[in-house]
Amino acid sequence: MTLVVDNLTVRFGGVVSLNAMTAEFPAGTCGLIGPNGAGKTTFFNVISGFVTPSSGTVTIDDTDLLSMPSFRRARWGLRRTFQTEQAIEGLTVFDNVATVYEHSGVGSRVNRRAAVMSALEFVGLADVADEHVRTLAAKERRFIEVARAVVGIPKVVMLDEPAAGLPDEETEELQVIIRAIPDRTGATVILVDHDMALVQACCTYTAVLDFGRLIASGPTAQVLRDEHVMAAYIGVDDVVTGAGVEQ
Amino acid sequence: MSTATANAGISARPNLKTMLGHLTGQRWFKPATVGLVLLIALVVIPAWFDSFWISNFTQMALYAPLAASAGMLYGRVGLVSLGQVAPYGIGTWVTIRLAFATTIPYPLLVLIGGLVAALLGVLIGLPALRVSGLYLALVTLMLAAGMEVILGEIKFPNGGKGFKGLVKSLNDIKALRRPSFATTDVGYYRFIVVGSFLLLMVAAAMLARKPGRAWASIRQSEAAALSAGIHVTRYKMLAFALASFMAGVAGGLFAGTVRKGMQIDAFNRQSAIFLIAVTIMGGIYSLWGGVLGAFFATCLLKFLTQNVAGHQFWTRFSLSLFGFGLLTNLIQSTKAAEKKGVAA
Amino acid sequence: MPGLGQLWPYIIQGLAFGAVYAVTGTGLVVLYRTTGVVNLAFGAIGTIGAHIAWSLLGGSLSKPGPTGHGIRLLAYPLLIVICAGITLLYGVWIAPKLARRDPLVKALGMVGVALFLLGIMKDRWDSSKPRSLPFPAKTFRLGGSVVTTTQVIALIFAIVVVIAVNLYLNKTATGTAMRAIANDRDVASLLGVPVRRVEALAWLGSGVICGFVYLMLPALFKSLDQGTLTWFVIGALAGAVVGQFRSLWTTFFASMVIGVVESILTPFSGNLLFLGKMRKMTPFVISVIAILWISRRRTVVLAGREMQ
Repeated sequence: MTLVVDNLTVRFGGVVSLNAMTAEFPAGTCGLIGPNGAGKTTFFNVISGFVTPSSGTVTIDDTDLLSMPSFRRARWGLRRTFQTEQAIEGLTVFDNVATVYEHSGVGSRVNRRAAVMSALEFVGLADVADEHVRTLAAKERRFIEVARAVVGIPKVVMLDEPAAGLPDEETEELQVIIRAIPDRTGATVILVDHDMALVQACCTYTAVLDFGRLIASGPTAQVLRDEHVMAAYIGVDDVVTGAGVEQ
Repeated sequence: MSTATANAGISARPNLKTMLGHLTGQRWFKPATVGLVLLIALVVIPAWFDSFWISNFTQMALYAPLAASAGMLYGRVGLVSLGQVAPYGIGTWVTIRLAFATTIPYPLLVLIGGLVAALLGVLIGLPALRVSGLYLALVTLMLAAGMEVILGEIKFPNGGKGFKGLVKSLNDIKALRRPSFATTDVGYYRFIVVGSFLLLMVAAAMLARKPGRAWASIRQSEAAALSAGIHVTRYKMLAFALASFMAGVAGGLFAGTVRKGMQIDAFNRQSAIFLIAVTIMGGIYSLWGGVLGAFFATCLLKFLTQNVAGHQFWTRFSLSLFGFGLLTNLIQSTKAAEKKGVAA
Repeated sequence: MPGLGQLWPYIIQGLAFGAVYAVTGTGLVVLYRTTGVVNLAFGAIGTIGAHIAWSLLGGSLSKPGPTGHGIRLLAYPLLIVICAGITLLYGVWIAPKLARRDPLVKALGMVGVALFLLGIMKDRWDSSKPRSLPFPAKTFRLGGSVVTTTQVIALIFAIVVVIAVNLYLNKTATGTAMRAIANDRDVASLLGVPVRRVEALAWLGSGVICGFVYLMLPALFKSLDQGTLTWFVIGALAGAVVGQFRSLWTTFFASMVIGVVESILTPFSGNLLFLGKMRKMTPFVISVIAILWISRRRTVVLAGREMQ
């Protein structure tokens, strides 16, 4: 399923966070990168329903996402992890995932246990299912969020900097899990992260935002070598191209 | 002592903390505790204590679900309501009015009082659902203040006719009836204990299931809750409905303790403020906090008055003690959070 | 529907109450803007100050009004000193302990203070007995009704306070510092703003305003009733709420309107009798409407912080 974004514009007062953003996110895992302030989280917030765009559409499989209220999108199959949010403190690991499952509109109580344990096994947390979240470390909390994102039948999974703050070995564990999500769920995964190694390893396709506009998209390796992308991250004057140093 | 013996001594000494943790973690622990407390309340207390103390325990049993309702809203859903005395008052008023006007059995009247309170709580709370934090506290405080004006105007029924149910002459004031099976003070005390127990059980049941999970999500982050597919507005409404129902039923139970001449003191701004202090001091993360807070506000205070040096000091300055207690509680929780390195 | 002649005395009364609402509101807004604290103990502090003044003035239960002359009249300025002192004490000693918490918790702290003071008051001055604390005043006639100089002073004071505080915040260095702290406490501190000192000043100002209000309020209410005086602050919040705890002029005008409306509803009778009886609800109703209006745009709360 391809997520089609057409002419999406978001204004906050005088600031234009997304500037006629047009992009397509094909099935599989897609990366969404760009410098800080490029509009990546704003984009996620539009899709989640927390921010109303001033113009533009987001459709997937003929479904107009923006016409649904926030909580209905989740029921449709939209899942999302947050940069700062972590798993729900007051609940156990099992209940954290069960909460998403029981509000996703699928299945019954009978299937609930199986579905939740399956998601927990997928991220390797099956043996701590009955632990309270407050006893767990950062990595486990992140993985709980991923479990919440894959339980049931998700259609679009948005991962917002899931590797932030994780040391290398844990990022590699995460990488393995993320790569397996499309096969397990059939969902389109959009990964936002600053860890280029993670993006390169997980995403077959990557889009790049800068100042709210799409400046490059295509196969990940190609995009990461694109001079415009480098210019956006580093600054135009310092980009060295094949033709010599640009003035 | 040789090293070997010292080591043996250390491993042989049971760690109290782990033992306690092991005990409370047992599946039978919670139901057993509840059963024990209920047993003490229903059997031991009436047997051991005199009527003065029974009336204190009656107050405690009444206040517990009220404090628990406010605590549950704050601690488990993240919604601060300074207006729980409003549904409390509605429950009391409805129960009294219907008690005089109909022959409906008293327990049913209490239930109706709770339902009316819940309905009004939801209607009035509906627009307030978009509000959070300080503004929610202020809105609910205003609602309580408004209710005080209304109650002060329509007063409590005393056997008369018409909507207000007020009698024309002081000689015609009737006494409120009680359930046929609980006419004595001790009997009514037991009735209240059972009623409050049922209320707390209903709340506990909801907290342990889907609503409780949804509320925990909402409390942590509304955005994350919405993303999880939770209909945040509906669950907030449910929380308000439950809290208002609990307060309303408590109000209906309260009605029967004052046979004649119900005052509005229990429902004014001061009582609203006092309630939040008691709620926070008892603890907002567990329904037991409501019970504990109620205990502090009623029995403990009376006990200190009777028995601890300085006698009258405790009652005379009860408000001050709770004010001080509230401040201390807030400062302590700030320190604790800062120590853990989390935002409080 | 009562005519203008009937309403006139209530308009005057309403202007006076509106004025004290406005002064209280100004004090609440300035403190909130600087420290994030909604001073719910404003009423309790003022009331206990008024009671201390009453006692110092020789008030007793047999003669509920104060009987003092001469040096005893110093009790009036002492009222202001006491109110300012208690407020400053809290602001300097306890408020910093809660400085990092959200406004709700800070407001609950003030609730604790209010209860603490209420307990002392209930004990020292039996609340069931009537007392009064008149403010030395003259009366004169205006348009057929009696006006007291207290009412006039209240009105003038309200106007002076809102103008003076506005000037202070916008033109002086400390005023600007207060606005800086309100904007971002940590950044202000980094920029060299003496945060603690400026906050202390805001607390002191709030306490002084409290003192002035409670100098006049018992006279306007014609009684020294603990409950009414202590919880006066809840109604006085209405103006500040309409002003969104930001705009002083909005707070002023909203407070005046609320005061006048609350008062002129008094003579309503007949079919509109309920308006007369429910007039005391005016500030609460307006607060609720204002808060709902302010929150009308659906904002989503992300980890406790609001997202627009």
